Amino acid sequence: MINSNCLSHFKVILFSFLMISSTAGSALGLGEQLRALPVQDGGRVKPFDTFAKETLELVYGRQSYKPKDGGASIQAQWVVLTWMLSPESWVSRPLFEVKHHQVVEQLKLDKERKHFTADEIFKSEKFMNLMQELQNKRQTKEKLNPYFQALQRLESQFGVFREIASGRMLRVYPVPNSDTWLSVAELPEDIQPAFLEISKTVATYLGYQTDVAVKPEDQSKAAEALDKAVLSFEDLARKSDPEKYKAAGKSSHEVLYNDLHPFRWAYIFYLIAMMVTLFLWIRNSKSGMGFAWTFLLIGFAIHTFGFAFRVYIAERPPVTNMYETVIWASWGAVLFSIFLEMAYKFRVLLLGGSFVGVLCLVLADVAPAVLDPGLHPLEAVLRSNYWLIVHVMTIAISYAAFLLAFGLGDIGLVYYVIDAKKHHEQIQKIVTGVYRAMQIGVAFLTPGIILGGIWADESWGRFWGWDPKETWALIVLLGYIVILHARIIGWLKNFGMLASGVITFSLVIMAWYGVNFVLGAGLHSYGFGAGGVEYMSAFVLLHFLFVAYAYAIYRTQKLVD
Amino acid sequence: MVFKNKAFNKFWRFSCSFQLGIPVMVLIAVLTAWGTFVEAQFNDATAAKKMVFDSWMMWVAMILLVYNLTVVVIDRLPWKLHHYPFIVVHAGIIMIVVGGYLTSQFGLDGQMSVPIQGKNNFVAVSQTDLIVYATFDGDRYSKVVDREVDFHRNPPTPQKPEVIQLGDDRIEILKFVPYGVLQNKVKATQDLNAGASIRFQLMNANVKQVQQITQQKKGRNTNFNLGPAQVILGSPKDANVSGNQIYIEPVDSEKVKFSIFHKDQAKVFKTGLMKIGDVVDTGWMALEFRLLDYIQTATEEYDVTEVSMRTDVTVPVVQLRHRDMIRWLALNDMIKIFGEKSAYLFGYQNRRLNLGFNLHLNQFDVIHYEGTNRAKEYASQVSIGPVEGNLPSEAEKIQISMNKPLKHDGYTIYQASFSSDEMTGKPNASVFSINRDPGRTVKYVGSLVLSFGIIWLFYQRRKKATAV
Repeated sequence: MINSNCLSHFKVILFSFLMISSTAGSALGLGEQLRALPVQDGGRVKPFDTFAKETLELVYGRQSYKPKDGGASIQAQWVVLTWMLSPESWVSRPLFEVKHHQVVEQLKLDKERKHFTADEIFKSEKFMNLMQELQNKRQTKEKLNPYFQALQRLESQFGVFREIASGRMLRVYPVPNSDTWLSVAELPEDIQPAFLEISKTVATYLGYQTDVAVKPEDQSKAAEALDKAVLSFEDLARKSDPEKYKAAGKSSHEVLYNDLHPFRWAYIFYLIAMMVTLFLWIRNSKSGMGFAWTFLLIGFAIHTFGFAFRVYIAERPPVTNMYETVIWASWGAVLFSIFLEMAYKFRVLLLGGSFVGVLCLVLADVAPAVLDPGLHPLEAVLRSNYWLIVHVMTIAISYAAFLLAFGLGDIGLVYYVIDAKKHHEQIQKIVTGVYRAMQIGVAFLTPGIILGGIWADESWGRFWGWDPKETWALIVLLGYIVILHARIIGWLKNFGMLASGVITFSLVIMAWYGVNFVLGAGLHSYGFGAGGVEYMSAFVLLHFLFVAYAYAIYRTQKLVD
Repeated sequence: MVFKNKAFNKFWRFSCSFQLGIPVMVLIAVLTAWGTFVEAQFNDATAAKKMVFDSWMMWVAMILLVYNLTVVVIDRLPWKLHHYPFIVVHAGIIMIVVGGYLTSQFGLDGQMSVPIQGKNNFVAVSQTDLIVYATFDGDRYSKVVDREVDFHRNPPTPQKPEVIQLGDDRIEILKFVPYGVLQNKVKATQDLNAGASIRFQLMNANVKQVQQITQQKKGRNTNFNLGPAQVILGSPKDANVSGNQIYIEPVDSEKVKFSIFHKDQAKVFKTGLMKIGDVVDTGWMALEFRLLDYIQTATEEYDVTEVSMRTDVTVPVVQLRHRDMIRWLALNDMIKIFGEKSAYLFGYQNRRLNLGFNLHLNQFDVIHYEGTNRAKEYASQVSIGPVEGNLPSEAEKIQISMNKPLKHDGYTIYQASFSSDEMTGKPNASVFSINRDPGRTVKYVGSLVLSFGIIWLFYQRRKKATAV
């Protein structure tokens, strides 16, 4: 129940959160104007902050640089900028991440380390050999296995290293007669002093930062000077082509999005909600659900807000890669749990919802290599298509319902491990939740698949083409329909429903993730290893073992009776 | 329903039971899952289609499904209100399956590539044919064989070859290689009708290009396009001379005659004789032309390496034998075979169907994402004209783009992709996918019926508080 007290509490928190976000434009701190500098990269205009983070992620594997000697982390924008202004200061630092052990071995590098200096890698003769090897492999047009993918990353690391240092990669100045912005290296002569001013003020600013002898007011003066230099450069760029610079207007908002980490906040609140609900559910307490509701709804509001913010920045519904569908589906799972909880008031439904919310959002937060949070332009056929967006959202939301069934199934099986007879009532409630969630899932998945067919028909002239993604969506549908039918005729009892909720979800994992990372990588040959397949397999396997364990206990209890 | 005949009654009960329905659904799920694994293994949707999705097993599963769904509905006669949602759902599924059947049996799904400023009236479909043309005098050819073959399903083997008997000549197809990588080999031949072949180098400070070109037939010009300049093996006499071009004309077994033309100049810029190893300055962007090799009568053959999965460079290839000669023939290519009395042109190709109209591509536009080479949008401006004769000047100009197909004469024409010139990277042809789908309406109505039924079913079940 949501009592009015909690509701007002919730309103206050939500309001203050929105207040923070409404100050979007001025959210940049002193000396941070640089982060919002518009840069053209990867087919769109993005703030320098995003550019720097993506670049550092590619090169270093993290979004900030951690010095070896244990000093404070250096933010991405300073790393990339100083790297361009004085490349020599970075050459001797271990800035390049090489993870693939075979590549490390080939380059004769220290196997204990993960990061290496530019000299260590690119100056070695072995490096050129490896690049040749990659080139030869490309000519065969075969899919690249993890080893060659690692080489490919090395190649981009090298390219980025060179291009950043030369100033050719940082495109900051739009010109009327070309789609491509001018890079720092190509700036017209009359503009160069303005950029030089940025470099100078950066040097002073960073110098003051590390120098304890400098007075705070001098530090803030240096920061102001830097901000001013950046702004006056932006003015010049805007003057060059105001129309193209308009797209840059969202830059500072995107920096804010980068800073806010809305989905991280959302899972923190979900986690609290989950703890509270768990406590109440175990204690069988009749009151206190208001707290759980409050935290869950705050989390949900932040989740929604983050999603909406992303829509605003990307200018499209963000359901076009794995990261975005995970965010969207977990949102759906929480939403369904809210509806179901309001209808049944079992409490455990909210527990399941917050559980999968935490699970998904944590996953999205910790695995950027697999779930890429970057905003990327779309393939031509995926652009501006109404059906595409609708069908992906519909299918992902059905996966959300199955996700909820999975979470509830897990919780229910725990009771079988503890004592099924004693908790018969709770189990009955959970099974109802699983059944309903599966029904919701089927009710969304069927039209979702059909809408996908309509989209394919509109775009390709093929309603159904046995494409792996659509085929696996169909397999998921068949799987859950079998379960629902088996339930109707009584083949599946309570235990069977909970176990199916967990096991059938592996079909969803296959359709959602496996098609891209297991089938997509080419089955034979390279085995597992790309995109965290080993973790995902372990996750699925552990759940199978868990179901088997719960089944063993359930059987022995039955035999005792 | 209850039937008097006990055995039939038992059969009927089984037919409309879940004992049949659930295994059928599981069977379909397992089959299709297997299909996706086959596709991933060979990186080839065609293989998966032939082996699984379009196999007899799949048809059996689908027939059983439709049978089960139908019998269950009949069994509930006379229907009551609470039966309706379930009947609607089942009817929807049956309609979709039937629609799919109509599409696969009577539909057409093919590809057509139209060069920019060019036209095409043939759509290539996935069926393959063996085609043989025979000639007695080397001039007039007549089609003597046109046989549909499906080597993916029934590959020939040396023990059980596919045989083509042409009078006294027996040609055997010994082997089918679904994923072959071709390496071109140019060989000298005694055949006086064979074309010439040259290998050359074009070089300046920025460009260094080595290339081989071979004429299909004696006197037929062939060219290599380097964007701003063209190398043509053949005579400038009957060619349309424009732009920077160098013509290499075979003279005898050792010498060729070159003629260099410059853009903006109608007259030949430089001409003379050259032999292997000679260099001539073309006068365009300081490009030098070096003749590396020359064969007056040459044939192109290829060696084939068999690989385990499809890539962008593999093609299906067959190996054929005529007497003691063994040769490779790639899909959509032709080879010449000399028989006892006549010569044959032997082809293994995708079937090409005449659309009954010409698709003219007037213009093709690509918009890229800012500052990249990634296509953001592309569109073709086409006109439709008769197969014979020219495009009437008043022909309507129609735009086809992603998600905006053109419907004409029962066909739907979609923008599928485009191909680019290897050297310049500029698009040179637009690729359309063309289809006719007689099952479309049935599938769409079925989809609507199914979706409606599911929602109905969902509401009906919601009346109970807990599932039992």
